Amino acid sequence: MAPSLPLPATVQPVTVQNYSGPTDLPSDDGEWLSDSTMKNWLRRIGFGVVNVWLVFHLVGVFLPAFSIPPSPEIVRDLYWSLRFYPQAIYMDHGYHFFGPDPGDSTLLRYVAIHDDGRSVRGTYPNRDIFPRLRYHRHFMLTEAIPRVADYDEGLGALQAKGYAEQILKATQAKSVRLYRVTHRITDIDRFLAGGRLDDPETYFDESLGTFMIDDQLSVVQR
Amino acid sequence: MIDLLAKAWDSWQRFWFAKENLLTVCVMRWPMVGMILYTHLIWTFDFEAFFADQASWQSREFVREYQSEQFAYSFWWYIPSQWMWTAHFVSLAILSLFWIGFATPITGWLCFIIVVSYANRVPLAMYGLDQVNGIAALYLAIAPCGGRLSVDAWIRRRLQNVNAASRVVGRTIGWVSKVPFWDVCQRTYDRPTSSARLSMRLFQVHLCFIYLWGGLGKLQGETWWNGEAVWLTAASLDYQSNDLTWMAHFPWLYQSLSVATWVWEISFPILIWQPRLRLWVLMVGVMMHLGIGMFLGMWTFGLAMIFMYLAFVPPETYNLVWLQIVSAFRNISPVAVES
Repeated sequence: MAPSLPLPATVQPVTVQNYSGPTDLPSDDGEWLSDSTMKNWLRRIGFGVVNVWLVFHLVGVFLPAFSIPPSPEIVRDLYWSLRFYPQAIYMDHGYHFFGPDPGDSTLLRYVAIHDDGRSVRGTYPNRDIFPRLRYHRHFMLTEAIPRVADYDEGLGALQAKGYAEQILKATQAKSVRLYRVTHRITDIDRFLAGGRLDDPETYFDESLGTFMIDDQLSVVQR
Repeated sequence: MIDLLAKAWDSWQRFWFAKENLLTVCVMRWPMVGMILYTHLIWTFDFEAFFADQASWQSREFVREYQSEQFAYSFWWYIPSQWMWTAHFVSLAILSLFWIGFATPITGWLCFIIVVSYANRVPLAMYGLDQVNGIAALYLAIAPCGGRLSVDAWIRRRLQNVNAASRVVGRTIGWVSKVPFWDVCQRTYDRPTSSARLSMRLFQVHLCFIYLWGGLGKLQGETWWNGEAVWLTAASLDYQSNDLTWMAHFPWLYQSLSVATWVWEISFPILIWQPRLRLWVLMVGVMMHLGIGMFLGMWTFGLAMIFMYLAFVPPETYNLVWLQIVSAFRNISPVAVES
């Protein structure tokens, strides 16, 4: 009996178990295109697509910060055209942490009045809240007041109404008065002269209005 | 010219797509997804106050108006009120599964959708932490981050052993393999891949963008130039969690810290690529973020930023650390047992 030659390591004998169908597919022009060639082409196309996406992605996440004024108009225009991408993937951010300057804080003060005339006063954010992440969530809400209201007055009014609704729900009160409180940072000279960070003179209140629950149980501004 | 272009193309390909050991992204999954899970778990305390359609801090009407010109998507707009708590707990369950590394090719993308949906539902309550969470969710979804240190990897190893040991169990596994998602889950590799490299590089480059813009943004202001900014940050009572006002008596300290902050931020994208300086650059960053955590109470944000630094740690280092831990544990354990 003639000895059988061993197969090269890369060549596996085809058996019923590992047969996976024909390895060639017909191409458009009638020629037979090998499976590996087609896979190769698909890989190349896929790789090209990934490269194009990568460049687009890098531009997309770089532009939002670049477009923050003062910035060239051409950059702002380009950002406006491409903003769908960073916004859709939640990477539409400026990353200007504490920039251009650390600024004043904005707080929300309220006076909630119950049916029996009793009033409850409070301020958001509440320092006693735990864990600290919850404090920052509420702080971001109040910090957003000037950003929204200064951009669009109507939207600011809607925002204040939402805050009032939540406070009325939480306190079970009949009406609530809201105040936007700007807390100025104590400068170094004032501090060295004996000033404190929480001096009353550093707080400036501005009324956002009074909100109450009407007969239809919806919140309206009085 | 063609040679130059070819070289540039080759460098680009090697930088982004050279096959990379996936240990780095697998290690990153634990702290980063852990932070994402924690962030979303905390929403449970105030869930209705923030997410209810009506009478919440940000009503549906307000947010839709606020985002009217944005391409901001959220699954919360399609979930009826009575199913919101269920959706929240299902989201937490998915995040937990991704955290422990189960079905990562699927739970990874679901995690990204969850992070984006929560962020877009309550846009006014978001800050730096959520931005880092979004970055982590996308880049970890791209990566084969369940290839190691994961339930996926554990199952794969167990199945290989069981498959050889028992034909009956082997048949059961054959049946399980036909479950639609299973095949996808098994595509998490434990060998070097280009996607691990891509993910790692995206983390690194994005971190450079963040610091570059953080530094350039500061230069637009006056107080970062004249050195008062760190004092102003320290004196911001509403951020402060530990008293830093003693700094007022040491002007050289707050002034030099102000300037050092933006100098470090702007130089980060250059210095971080110098192997000899990398450790020092990262150590300064760690100290800065720990300081922000300690004095401004933003532990979560500070830690999330530090977790991104893990992308700069080569896989060999993780292997070395792991071996040292194992060897130390083996040496210590008999003593520990005896005591």
